[in-house]
Amino acid sequence: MSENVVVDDERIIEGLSEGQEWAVEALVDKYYGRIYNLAMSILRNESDAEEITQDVFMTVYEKIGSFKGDSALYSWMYRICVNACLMRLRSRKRTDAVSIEEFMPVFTEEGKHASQVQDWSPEVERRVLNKELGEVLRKFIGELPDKYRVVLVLSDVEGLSNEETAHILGLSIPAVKSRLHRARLYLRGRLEKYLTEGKLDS
Amino acid sequence: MNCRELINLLADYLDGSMDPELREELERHISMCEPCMNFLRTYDRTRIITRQVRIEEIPEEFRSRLKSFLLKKIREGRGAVDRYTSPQKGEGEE
Ligand SMILES: [Zn+2]
Repeated sequence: MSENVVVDDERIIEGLSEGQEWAVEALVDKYYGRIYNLAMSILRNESDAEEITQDVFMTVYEKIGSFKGDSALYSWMYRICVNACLMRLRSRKRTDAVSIEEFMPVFTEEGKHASQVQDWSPEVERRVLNKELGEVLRKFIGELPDKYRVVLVLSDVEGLSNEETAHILGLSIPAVKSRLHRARLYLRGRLEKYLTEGKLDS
Repeated sequence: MNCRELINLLADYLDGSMDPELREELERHISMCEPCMNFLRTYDRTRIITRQVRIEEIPEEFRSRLKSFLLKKIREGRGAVDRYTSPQKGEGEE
């Protein structure tokens, strides 16, 4: 990712606990992209994401003594980052939180699809390099209620396993799975409306 | 298995954590039900493009700004005590 040499986590941790400045720099080189991206995905605001990223690295430096090696360093950092983001969100008054129910699939009493389901996946494929689709998708992710968004970001944006996501958020695996599924259903429903009706608003 | 039950199992189906018998039943339903097939395709495509949201340009000057911010804070925290180590050689063996 960068031209700098990537240093082993173990050495970075050792260096940090000795208060070595090179370790702080190595930590930044190795993880600032991931942490910034994560904060950006959750907060959708550049200056907030930058501030949170600073807080995360400062916390890691100060709390390195309490880091237990039972999980990976990035997983611990993700946890610190997610908590910081959630705190920031709570202090923000959100006016744009949506009800995700409107975009859940609807079934008949016998459990069949209540309306036609079209396959618009080739259309997504066709637009995959299109900048607009990415923007639209970010907007939709931003609309999700926080508890769904953090799970979706860790699992589908960051690509973590259900186990890792559960660990980072302090949730059970079934809770992660169900939130992830509902978040995906929301995005799917949102995209469907956008692609088939050209509608951006819910 | 009806369509509603099938849709609720899609996450398990796609992450491979589903037991083989249920998987077979699900695949049998999908092969005979076009709405579910279309739902699966669009659900899966949604999941896949979500990953691409991540590729976001990070301002390069942010990295140096972050480093100077942290080093300044750390040095302030140490007060007058000078414990500077040179970035390249501070990691030598004992
Ligand atoms: Zn069906």
